Amino acid sequence: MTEHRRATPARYHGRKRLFLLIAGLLALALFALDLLSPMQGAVAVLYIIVVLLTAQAGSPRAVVLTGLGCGALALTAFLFMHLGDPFDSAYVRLGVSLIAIMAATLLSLRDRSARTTLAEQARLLELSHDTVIIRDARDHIIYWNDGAQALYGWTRAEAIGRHCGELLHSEVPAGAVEAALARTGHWAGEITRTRRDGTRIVLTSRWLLRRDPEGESIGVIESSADLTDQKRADAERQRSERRYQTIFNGAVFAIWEADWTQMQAYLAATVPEGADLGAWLADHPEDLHEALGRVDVRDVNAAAVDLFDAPDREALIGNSIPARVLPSSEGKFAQVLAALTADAGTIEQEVRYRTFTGRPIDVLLRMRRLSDSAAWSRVLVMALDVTERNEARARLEQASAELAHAARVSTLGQLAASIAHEVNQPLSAIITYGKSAKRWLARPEPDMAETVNCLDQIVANGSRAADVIARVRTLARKGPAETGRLDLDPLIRESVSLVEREARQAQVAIRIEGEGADVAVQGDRVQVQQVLVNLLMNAVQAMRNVEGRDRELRIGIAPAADAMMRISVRDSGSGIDGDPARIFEPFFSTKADGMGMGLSICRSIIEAHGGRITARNNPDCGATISLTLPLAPSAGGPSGMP
Amino acid sequence: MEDRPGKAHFSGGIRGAGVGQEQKALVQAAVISIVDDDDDVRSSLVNYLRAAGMDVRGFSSAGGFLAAPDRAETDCLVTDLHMPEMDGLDLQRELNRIGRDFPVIVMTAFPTPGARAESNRLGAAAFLEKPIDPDALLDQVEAILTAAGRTGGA
Repeated sequence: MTEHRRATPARYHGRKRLFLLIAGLLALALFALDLLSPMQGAVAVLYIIVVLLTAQAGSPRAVVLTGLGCGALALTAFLFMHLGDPFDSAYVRLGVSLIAIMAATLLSLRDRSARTTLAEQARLLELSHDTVIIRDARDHIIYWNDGAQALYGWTRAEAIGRHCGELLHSEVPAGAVEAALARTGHWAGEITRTRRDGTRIVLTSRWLLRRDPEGESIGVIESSADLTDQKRADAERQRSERRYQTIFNGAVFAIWEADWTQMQAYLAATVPEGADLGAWLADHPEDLHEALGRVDVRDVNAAAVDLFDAPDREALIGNSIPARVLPSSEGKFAQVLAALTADAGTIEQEVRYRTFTGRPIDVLLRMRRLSDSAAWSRVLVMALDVTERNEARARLEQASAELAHAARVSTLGQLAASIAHEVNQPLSAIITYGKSAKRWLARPEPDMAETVNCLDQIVANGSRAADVIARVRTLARKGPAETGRLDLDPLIRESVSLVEREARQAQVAIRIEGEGADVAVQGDRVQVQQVLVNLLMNAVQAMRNVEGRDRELRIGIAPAADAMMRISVRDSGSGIDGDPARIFEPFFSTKADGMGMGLSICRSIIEAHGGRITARNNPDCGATISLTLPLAPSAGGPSGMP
Repeated sequence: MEDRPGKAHFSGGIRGAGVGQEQKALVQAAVISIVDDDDDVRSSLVNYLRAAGMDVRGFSSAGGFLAAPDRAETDCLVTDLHMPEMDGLDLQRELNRIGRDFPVIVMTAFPTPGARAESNRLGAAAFLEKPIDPDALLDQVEAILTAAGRTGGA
C-alpha cells in the first residue's frame, strides 16, 4: 500500500500468464495426488493455493471459475475414492476442503476488489496537483506524492522517513490543529512552509486523522495547495483596489459607478430584435425612461455628493442620480445607450440634472464600461459641472451682441446726417407736389391729369422715405442673430445706398465689380450689413484727404475656396501704416475721436459666420479689406457660383 | 434798379412782398432753369413752377445745364449746392467766368456759414435752405425777376 509498483502492461500480461500456468499445473498435480495417494490428510485444502495464484493474475470471473473448478476436482476425487463409504472422516475432510476453497475464493475476490480501489485511489493521489503527504503518529513521512515532490523540491526517496515538520520547517497553528483533530478528526487552514531552495510558501491545507481499526490515531493524511501566487495576486489586487479607491474618492470631479445589468435585461426584453437601438429609444421615450429607472448606482465619490447638493453619499446610491435627469435631457441617453451597447469605448454627452436643492445644472458626462467585470455590472461615469461655463458663454454671447448693437447704433449716429437728408428729400418733394396739385386744381380749368400725376409722385416719394426708414431700422435692430439666406447683390446695394450720400459729399465714386447676381450667402442680415457699412464708411473716410487722384471705392465680389464668397472693399486713400492686420485689434483707431471697436467687432461677426477678414495695402495706393462668407446651401442647384 | 441781376445782393429771401397782379403777369412765362441731382426734388419743383405758369426746365447736373443749347434763354437759375462732379459754387464760378445775364438762386440742405458767404460773394441772388417751401421759392423768384426788371420773352 505504501509503495505502488507500476509494471508495464507487457510484463504484467506475461506475469499473469505465468501465474495462471502454474496454477493450472498445480491444480492438476493436486488432483492427481488426491486421487492416487493413500494420504489421509485434506489434500484438497491445498486447492486454495491454486485459487490464490489465480487471484493474483486472473479476472474475477477466472477466480470464480477456478474456485468452482477446484471444488469440482475435490469432489470428483472424493467420489472416485470414497463413493458409497459410510459417513466418516473422509466426508469431513471433503467438507473442510470445500469450505476452505470457497473461503479462499471469496476472500480473494474481496481482496482483489479492494486492491483495485486502492490502486485507483493511489493514482488519484498521484494525479493531484495538490501535495499529498501521509505521516505517522510521530510526524514521519510515509507517503509523498508527485505534487509534493514538485512543490517542495524533495524527492520521494529523500522525503520518506523524514520528520515532516523539520524537513519543511512548517509553521502550523498547533493548538488549533490539535483541538480540531481531536474534536472532529479533520482540520483545514493555512500553513507556511519552506521549500528546499529556501523560499517560504503559504499553503491552504486539509488534514485528516488516520485511525487504526481500534480508532487509535496513527497519523495524518494531508492535502495542501500552494497559495503563494494567489496570495501575491490578492495582495496586488488589494493594493490596486486601494489605489483606485483613493483616486475615486479624492478626484476633484464627480465619479460614480453604476450597475446596468437590470437595465440591459429590460432592453433585451423590450427592444425588438435587430432594431437600431438609438433610433428605437428615441421613438419610445417612455421605454427609455423605464430603462433609466433600472440603473443602480453602487458607489459615488465626494465630488459627486457636492455636484448634486446631496446630503450624503447614501442619498445618491440606487436610482437617485438617473432619476434626477431633467426630462428635456432624457432623450440624449438614447444615443449613449446605443453607443455603449455597440461597444464604443467612451461616450461623452452633456445632460441636465436637477440637484437636491432643485437647482438645474449642466453636466458633461463621460461614460465607459469597465471590462474586468461581468458585462454590465460596472459602468464608470465621470461628470464635470459645466453650468458655469455655459452661463459664462451665454453671458459672453449676450455681451457680444450688445456690443455689436452699440457699434451699429454708433454707425447710425455717424450716418444720422446722411439719413436725415435721405428722408428730407422725398418729404420736401411731397410738400412741393402737394402744393403743385392745389395750384393745378385752383386753375379756372382744373388740370386733372397734372393733379393725378402730382398725387402719384407724392405716393412714390412717400415710399422712398419709408424705404430709408426701413433700412435704418434694420441697422438699428437689437436682438439675437437670425441666420438666413442673404442675396448678395441687394445686400451690397443697400449697404452702398446707406453710405451713398457720404460718399457723394466726399466725392468718392463707388463701383461694384464682379457677379453678385443670383449669389446668396448664409448669415445674419443685420450683422453682415453692419460689417459692410462699416467697411464702406472707413473706406470713404480714408479717402477724405486724397488730392491729385480719383477717389474711388471699388467693391469686389468673387467666389472663394471652400464654398465661400469673397467681398473686397478697395479704396484709393493713403493705405494702412504698419502691419495691416493690426486694424482688427480692439481699441485700434486712427481717428482722434474713434472708439476703435468697429473693425474688431467686424472680425468677430465674420469669424462667427465661419469666414475670415483680412486687410492689406494695395500695390498702387490705398488698402483693400477682404472678407469671406459661406455660400448659402443651394436648394437643389449647383454648389458654388451659378 | 440795376439791370445786371448778378449784382443784386440779397442775403435772404423776400417773402412775396407786395408783388401786384400786373407784375405777376409779367413774371409768368419766364424761363426758369432748375439744376438738382436729386430727381424727385427737381421734378417736384419743376412741376410746381409749371403749375404756377412758368416755363420750367430741369437739369440733373451743372454740366448738363452748361451744355444746354438754350441756356441763354434762362431768366432765372435755381441750383442745388451739393452735387457730384460740379457743385453749385463751381457752377456759379463758371457762369461768372463765361458771363451770364440771369440771377442765380442757390438752395441747399447743408447751409454752412462758409458756403453761404462764398455763394453770396459769387453773386447769388438768394441762398435758400432745404426743405424748400415751394411758395416761398415762387415768391423769391417773382421778387427777383421783378427786381431785375425781367418780363416774359427772351
